[in-house]
Formats: sequence, C-alpha cells, structure tokens
Amino acid sequence: MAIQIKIPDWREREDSIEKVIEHHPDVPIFTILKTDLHRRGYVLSAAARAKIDVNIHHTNGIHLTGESDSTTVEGLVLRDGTLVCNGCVSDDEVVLRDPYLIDVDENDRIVITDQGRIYEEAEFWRKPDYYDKVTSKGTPMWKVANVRGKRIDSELNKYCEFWDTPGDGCKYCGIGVYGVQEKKCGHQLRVDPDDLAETLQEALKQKGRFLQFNATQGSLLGGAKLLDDELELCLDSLVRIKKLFSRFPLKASLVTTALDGQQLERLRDEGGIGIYTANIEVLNKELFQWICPGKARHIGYDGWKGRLEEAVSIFGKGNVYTDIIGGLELATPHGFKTEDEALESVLKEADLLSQKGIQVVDFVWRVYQNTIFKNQVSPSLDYYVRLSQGISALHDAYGLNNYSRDYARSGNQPSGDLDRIRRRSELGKIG
Amino acid sequence: MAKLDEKLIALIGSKNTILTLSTVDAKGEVSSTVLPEAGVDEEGRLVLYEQLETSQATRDLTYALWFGKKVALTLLSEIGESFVIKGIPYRDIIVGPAFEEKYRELTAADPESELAGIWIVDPTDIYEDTLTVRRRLEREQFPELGHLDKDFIG
Repeated sequence: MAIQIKIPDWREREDSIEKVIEHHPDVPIFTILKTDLHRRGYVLSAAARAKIDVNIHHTNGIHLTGESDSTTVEGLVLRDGTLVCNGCVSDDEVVLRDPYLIDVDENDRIVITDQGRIYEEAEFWRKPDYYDKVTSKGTPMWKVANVRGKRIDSELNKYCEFWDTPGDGCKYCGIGVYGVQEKKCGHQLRVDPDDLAETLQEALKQKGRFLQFNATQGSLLGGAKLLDDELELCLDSLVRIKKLFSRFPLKASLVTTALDGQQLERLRDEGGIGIYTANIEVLNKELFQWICPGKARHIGYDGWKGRLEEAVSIFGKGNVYTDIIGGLELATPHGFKTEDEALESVLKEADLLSQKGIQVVDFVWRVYQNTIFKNQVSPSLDYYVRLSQGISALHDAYGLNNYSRDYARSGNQPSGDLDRIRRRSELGKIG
Repeated sequence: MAKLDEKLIALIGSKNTILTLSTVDAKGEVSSTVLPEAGVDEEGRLVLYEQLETSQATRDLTYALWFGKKVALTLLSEIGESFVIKGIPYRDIIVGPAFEEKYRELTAADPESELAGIWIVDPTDIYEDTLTVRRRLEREQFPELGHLDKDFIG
C-alpha cells in the first residue's frame, strides 16, 4: 500500500514554505512549520521508525477518529515546545499534498524534512506513566484517557447524535463518521466515569506532567430539554473528578455542544468547571447552515453565538472558547471564492465575538477521506498563517489571555502558539 | 557558541551568586528579573529555570528563541566580581524527564513552586563586568578619557 497524493502538482500552485516564511518575518518558523505539518501531514522514514521505543514514546492513542498503533507516534515536540498534534499519515492514506518526511540526520537527531531539506529538529512525544496500566474494572487506561502536550484528555462519548438524522452530520467531520461505525459494530461508545476518575488518580502520580484535564464528546441531543443528556454525561464524570481536587474551579476544560445558560450554571456549580468551549466551527451563518446542518437545525448560528455570550456571563471574559476549522469557509460550491474574501469575513466575525469576551481559536482543516467533504481542498499555507496571525491579534486587542487552547495544553491551534508572546500580566505592578 | 570556563560555570552554579536575566520583548520593551538559580549543561549551554507561565521572562525568552534575539544573564559573585553572558535561547523544555525531575526538586523544597519551562541558552558573548576591571581596561584602551584632575600634579 502506498500513500496517494490527490494534487500531484500542488507545489506549482502554491507558495513554498520558504516563500511563506519570507512573507511573514514576524511569525516564527515553528508555528509556520507546525501549521504546514497539520495541513500536509507527515510520514516517518524507516530510520525514524527505528527510533520509536514503545516503552518510552507515546504510541497507540485513542481518538474520536480511531486508534493508532505502535508503528507511529502520537505527536512531535519542537525546540520551542511547539506541539505537532495532527498530521501523521498512515501507509495507505489518501492525502491532498505530499507529506513531510520525519527522518534522522547525520547527528542522530530526529528532523523534519521535505525534498531533502531539513527544517527543524523534533522529539517524539513521551508516554505518560499511567498509560500501560489497567483500571480495577479491567479497562486499559490508555483507552480511558489520552495525552496531548501537558493535557490529559478524555473523550466521554464517541457517538454524535446529529448523525442519527441523515444529512445532519457536519460535512468535514471524521469524528462523526467514526462514531457511526463504532456504534454499528457495537463497540463501547462511552468512558466509564469510575474508570476515568481512577485513571486521573493514577495519572497525577506523575508530578509535573499535566497542566489541565480536558473532556469532550459527541453531541447528545436528548433529555428533558435539548442537550440535557450531554450535560448529565459530563456531570456524571465531573462530579467524580471533583472529589480528587482541593481547588476550584478545576484546572479543566470542557468542550460540549453549545449549552444554554441554566445548563452552563450547573456545569460551573456542580461540575466545578471554569473554562468552557463550544465549537462553532465556521464563522459565517449561511456556511454554518450548509456545513453543520444538525447544529444549525437544533441551535442555529445566531443561537450558538448567543449561547457563547451567555457562557461569558457565567464563566467570565476570556474563559469561553470557540474553535473554528480554518478553511471551511472556502469549501466549494458555497464558500468564498478567494482566500482574501474569506479571511476578511472570518476575522470580522471573530472580531465581533472577541469584543464580547469569547476567544476564537483556529484548527487547520485536514481533509479526511471518510468525510462528506472528502473532495474539498484545504487552503494555502499562507492563508493559515494570516488567519492565525489575525486571530492572535484579536486576543491581544481585546485583552483575552489564552491559557487553555494554548501551545502547551492543547497545541492544536496555531493562534494559541502565537499567543505565547502576547499574553499579558502585570502581576506585582506597584507604580 | 562562546565557551564558559570553569570559573564561570562554578559561579553560575553557586548559591551565593546573584543572577539577573535581562530580556527584550517584541516591541523593544526591556525587562529584568532576578533568577533564584541557573546552571550549565554538558554541552556548555546555560540552563535557566522559569517558574511562572505569566512572567515577562517567559514571553521574552520565547520571543528571543523564535527570532534569534539575545538575552543577557548578569552574574554578581559574593566578592563583587561581575560577568555578563549574552546568549540566544535554543530550547524550551516543557515536558519530559528533565522537566519532571526539576519540578519534583522544586516542589520538594517548596510545595507551592511551579515550573513553566527549562530554557537552554547558547552563550554568544561573555564579558567581565566588574567595575575595577572595566576601569583598568578603559584606561589602557582610551588613555585620553577620564577627568583631567586625575593626571594633575600641580
């Protein structure tokens, strides 16, 4: 099996990374490289694979999109601490552009290369101490929680109920598609709250390893009112987790479908949560309705934004986040026709949310072949660099300190990386 | 990379040495902070321990690493000798065994301690900054400088 490249001549159509670096002297190469690794993906050479030590390195991860094996690593860390969380391309994957090659250089360093040029050195992520242990119920702990950077992650529920109604699933989403497959196969879809509490208890024996706990899950629409089932699922775990800690709010982040004010108050009061995320995914009403039809039908674009604003009144300015998948706004046939138009529109809408204390953060869209959008093309590297710069500048302009979807805790958002030198504090100022 | 000699390595590691880190941010604003400790690794690089995520030093070290800018570590020994080591940050260690070992060491001494990053800095320039030494060098290299009365014999 071999990797298939869908746009073989992409190098002739787009600016090279060297050009992009040259055009953006105020953006670090680390962020540009990480963005492109997420966009194009990477593969490991035989020499790099030989460097994997399953006793030391983080392999075999569990994700909302599936499980990885021991032939590759969960991620890379660059010299400045930048995390590369996505992009590892499997041997038979269909991708848009040639992936980078992770190789070993003459000094025995792991390096990121493309067409023979070395861009940076990198290290493989390390496996946390709890990873090979088993809960008292017999569940392998790696299946209960995964790790990304300095964050321990649990995916409480793999199945998204927007996929119950044909045509309601988000068109870019590989997570939803995987959840459907898992449900059909009768696999375990939810994490046992006792397993989760036990895994966290074990994980935190490793001092200095984690800064944050993060939970996310597929949407659960049912209950006395819309999304009550999802709320109860979260609370079920959070109430158990709260017992492990002495300080509140928890150093935790929760990602849910956009809950209403009453539900959010329960998350804060009963769940101990102080940071909240509900991902709007695309910052345009018409495109949201097209790309996220289930979210649009049940909550609506304006409704989603309204719930984010309500969340700010409950959790405070800067403690509410919404992720966008950068590039969806250019999807054909309904998206913007040029990158300039798309960027202007997205940043204008992000500005309105930022003014209200909501932190917009950006993912790099990787076009997965199991999604409805499998024939789409993600935008240029230059677009992503301008997008993350624009978003980070909004955080700065509105005094939004990103200490949650940032470089160390999440590592998935290029704007969060750029925020590192923009986060403010004047602690101790006396004059 | 400038080479740190045995004397400097010992001074950097001495608990009796006062260490001050000077940095600049993206807008050119200068900052300075006293470091509780520092070290030198096997490759002769400076090792700085930054405890706070929100500190100006954390932001400025990041800026310096990203864009190849220099930071400066000033040493003042217990007998009044002073040295300045300039360098460019090479690595920020935020995970892994070295990080966890240092975190455990710090929290064993003070449970409220934190560790945001271990900064590895390539020394680029080393100066002796002791006033008496600089004065002697100035007189040697610029004999025309200094107040006239110094040479006045009446």
